[in-house]
Amino acid sequence: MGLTILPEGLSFAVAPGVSVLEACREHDIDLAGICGGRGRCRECRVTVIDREVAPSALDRSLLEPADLARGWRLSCQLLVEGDLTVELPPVSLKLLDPNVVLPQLESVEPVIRDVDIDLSGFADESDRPAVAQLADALRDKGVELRRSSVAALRELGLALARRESGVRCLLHEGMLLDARARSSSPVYGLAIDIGTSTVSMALLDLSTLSMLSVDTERNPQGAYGGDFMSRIAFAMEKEENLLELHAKTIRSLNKMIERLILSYGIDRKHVVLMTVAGNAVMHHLFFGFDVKALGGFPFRPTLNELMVVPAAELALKLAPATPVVGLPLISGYIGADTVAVVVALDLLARKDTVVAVDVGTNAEVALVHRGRLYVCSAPAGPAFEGAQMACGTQARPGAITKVAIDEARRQFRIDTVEEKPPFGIAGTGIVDAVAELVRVGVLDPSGRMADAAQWPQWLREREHLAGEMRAFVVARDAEDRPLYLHQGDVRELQLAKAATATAIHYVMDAAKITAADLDQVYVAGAFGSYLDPVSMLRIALLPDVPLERVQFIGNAALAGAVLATLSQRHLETAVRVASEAVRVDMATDESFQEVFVDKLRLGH
Amino acid sequence: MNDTTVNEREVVLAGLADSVWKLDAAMATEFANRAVTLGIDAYEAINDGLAKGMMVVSGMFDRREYFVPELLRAAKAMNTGIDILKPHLKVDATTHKGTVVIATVKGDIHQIGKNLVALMLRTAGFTVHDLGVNCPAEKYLGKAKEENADIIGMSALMTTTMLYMETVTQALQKEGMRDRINVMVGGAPVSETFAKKVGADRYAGHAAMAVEVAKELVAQKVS
Repeated sequence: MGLTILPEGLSFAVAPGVSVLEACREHDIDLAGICGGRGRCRECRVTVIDREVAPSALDRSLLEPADLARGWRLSCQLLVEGDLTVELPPVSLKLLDPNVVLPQLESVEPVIRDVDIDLSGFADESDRPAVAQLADALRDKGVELRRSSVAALRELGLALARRESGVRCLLHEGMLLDARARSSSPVYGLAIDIGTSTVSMALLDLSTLSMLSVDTERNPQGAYGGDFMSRIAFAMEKEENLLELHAKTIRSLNKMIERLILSYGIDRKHVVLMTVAGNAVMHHLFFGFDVKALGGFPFRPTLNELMVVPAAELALKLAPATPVVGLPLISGYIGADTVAVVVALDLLARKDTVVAVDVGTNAEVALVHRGRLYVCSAPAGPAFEGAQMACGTQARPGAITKVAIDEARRQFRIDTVEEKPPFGIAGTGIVDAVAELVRVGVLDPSGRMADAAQWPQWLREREHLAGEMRAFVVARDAEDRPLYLHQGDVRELQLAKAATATAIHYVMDAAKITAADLDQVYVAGAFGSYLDPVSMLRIALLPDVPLERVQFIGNAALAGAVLATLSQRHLETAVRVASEAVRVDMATDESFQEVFVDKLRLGH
Repeated sequence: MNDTTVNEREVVLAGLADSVWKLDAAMATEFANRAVTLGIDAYEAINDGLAKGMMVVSGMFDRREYFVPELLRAAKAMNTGIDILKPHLKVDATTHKGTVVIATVKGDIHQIGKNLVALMLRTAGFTVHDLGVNCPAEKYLGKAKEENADIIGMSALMTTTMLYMETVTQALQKEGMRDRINVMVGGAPVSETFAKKVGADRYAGHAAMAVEVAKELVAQKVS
């Protein structure tokens, strides 16, 4: 039995009983599976090209009749029986611009020590080992040599044999990585943030302490579900699955490394350090650690400290001894990404009162007040990414990303990705739409959609009935089908918003402060950067602060990983953050339900 | 009864029903007191008044017009009315519908959905033993035995923890309790299909639906 995938034209054999989604996963073909192949979303749909395939019950319930007629099927339900040709959705995801904001780095102590050693003083006549003599020379320069890589010692021996005048030693935490003949060529580092949805990798010049480039890819684990819990559920099915998720992650990182260093013409062995940030589950999957214990209370991690391993141990395509640093976790549910955000903002050194919120599938919140750091996280679910919404979509071309209602001019405006005809509503568009609909009275602050008779007259033609639910038509697609927001979608968004706002509430409560005490509210995360701050304040996703106190900081987790790759102080800060942060547990708090229910309200 | 009292009876029952879906505890108090003054049978006032209002709420919740806060307020209004009417219930007219042991499964500490179901079941006349969150199989079974429960209700909000439901149904089987005790499950990632897969009797999509499901399960058991 063979499966052919268009438009790429790839063909491969598939075992009986395997679904198209599973086959695509196996061959690293990027096909989104937000719900993890459980038949609860529509993201994995493909078009069957070469023959009639009867739609499954789930196809019928999730896809429109017109779409079924044109051959759309859910790939998670579509088994390969006989030869089959399918076409993937025509548009790939537009990856959000990984906006990385770095502070000025002056007179920092670098993580990688780059030391020039004169070999002329080495005693040829002595039987004292070359490495011991090197250690002496390094000690004279204030650098301690504790261990050496094989590659470095080979280079040292060669340099001595060739009677080179000196060697350039590269050390990481006392470990000699390289001791090649003097050269001025730069050395490089990589900083990575493994997000649940996207993976971002920064290429750094460690000699000039600067960032050269950032590359972003969809997290290849996406085929196993949009949120990390579905990845854990997959890993729990059988032991091999954990390895599959791990291997897939490493393969994807290797491809990204390849692409970055090729485009800059960099020799692989000049990449001497890699630092990784990510939430606890992404961190564990990167190392191949068990994630089952992270799947439920009490969320026990395998390890939460700073981890340094040679690249070879993870099959990363770098020089075998290249240190790979996993930033520490705060707990099994507050990860290295939160640590990195705190590092990026240097929160431990702040004297004012600020809160940083990473808005996304998992909300992470860090607040500093009077020098104390409080952290909390909450599962917000994939609603902010447009998943599990009737007309929701990820940020593909044609996805509606902004919605604005101008009542005075009676104008209803939308923005779409790449200005393509509307095709679905992205998470940012849903947040905007809800905020605007509350403002004009289509929704009341409780989230209930009012009877159309109470809507502004000029908007009434947008009334729609989705099943039994009241709905508001945001736009019509190229084929004049309504793209709407129904009452259930509003409720999904309320849940995600309440989870985030509740986490913020609890860190503020722990620090005994109110919104008026907040000097600054930072919004982090690739997704967060695309949200409209006015909408976020209007639906009370953020605390009630003046607009000018809200600041976007882009992918701060990646920025933190970059800083921890460049600067020793920032790396040490990461370790301090992990040990000093006060973890705020909200789910077990007695008032949790009351607070959460209060935070469902779409307004302050 | 003359026409006025018939009329007044209708007005009071309608007022009780309205007070629930209008989420108005003060209104429930007012009409429950009027029911007592008029000598309306307390059981009827609950069943044909308050409970009817809750049916409206349930329908609105189905269409998501009402959500968690409204469900809580509706239950509060209904309970306010019940508290006034309860002392006037005739001794033989018991409102007890059955006994339910409920909890969120082991590994999961989500409580709101489970709390709502417990609240709605209590409001509907069930005796509910809420074992909280992170509940292991032994605890479900122990309490069900102790209270001679009709139903075990399980909630899970994570794809990782919902698998534990099967551990509980298997333990029930092993203890030879499965025939005597019905199992109902719910929670965001849970579905009808999943409920069958883990050996539960029924799935309930939300708290109001859970009441109907529980009533049906108890009725089946009796017949």
